[in-house]
Amino acid sequence: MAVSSAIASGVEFVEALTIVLAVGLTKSWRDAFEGTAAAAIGLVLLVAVIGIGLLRVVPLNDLRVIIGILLLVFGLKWLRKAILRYSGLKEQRNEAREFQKETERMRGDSRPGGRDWFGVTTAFNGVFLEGTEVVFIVIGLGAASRALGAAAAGAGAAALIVIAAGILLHKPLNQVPENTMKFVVGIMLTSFGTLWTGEGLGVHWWKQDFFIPILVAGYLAASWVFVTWLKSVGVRSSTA
Amino acid sequence: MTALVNIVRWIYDFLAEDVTLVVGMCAAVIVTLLVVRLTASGAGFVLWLVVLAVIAASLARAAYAQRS
Repeated sequence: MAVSSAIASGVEFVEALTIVLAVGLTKSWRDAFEGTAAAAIGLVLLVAVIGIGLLRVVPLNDLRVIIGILLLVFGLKWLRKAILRYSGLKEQRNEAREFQKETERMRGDSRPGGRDWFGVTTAFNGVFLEGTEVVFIVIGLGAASRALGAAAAGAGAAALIVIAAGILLHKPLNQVPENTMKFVVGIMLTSFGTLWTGEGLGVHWWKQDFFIPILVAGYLAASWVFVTWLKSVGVRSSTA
Repeated sequence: MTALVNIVRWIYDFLAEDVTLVVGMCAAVIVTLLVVRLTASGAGFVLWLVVLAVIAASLARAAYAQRS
């Protein structure tokens, strides 16, 4: 659980780091840190209210249906994007390019004097939006398996690694195999989502929780088939 | 009203970004609920197959949109 959470959170932290670096290097580090700190406080409150509230109030079976369906839809979104990227129908994400875009946007907004709220709000939005996805994944994976601590620890470890790398390198982490990680996360979220949705709806899975590796293998095989199919469709349309 | 629409749109973008996935998932839940009354162990495979069909439909839509 901790590993799944760390990989999923790591991808989001890498994206957030790109935005914070862009603000820090083009505006000021003070703006970047203030926006990041405000977003972090907001996210802690979100975890406290939603995460702990869900665990205390909602029965496990109902929780698994709600979280299972949400994780399944969320996982399918990631998996769909990853398949489209691998088949060439969608552009691969590139942190260096995203960083370039963000710094150009920052430089385009040059307001003389006073406090630069544009930088602060950009850092806040970037960290809060990416962080919300982390919160969703951590609560989803952690709450439904009653392992919120392990999921949170995984996300915390990923945050420390990404922050340390950002401080050391002072540039976006474009060496991180982000597209592959997103594909892996998509497979994991879809698999856990399928299992928990089924359990919540009354399905008796063969070998219960040990059915997860079978679901993972099935979704991997299906993804390979989908990528091959989309590539052939793309080739046919480009040669037509 | 505009704020409510924006909130719904944000949740939709955050969760799915694709209407086929949302509609398909609703169908998957309904089908599983019906099948689970007949066979609790077989319903899992039905859910799995419906989810795969939903991904296939969503990808086919995306591929068709690219071609046209």
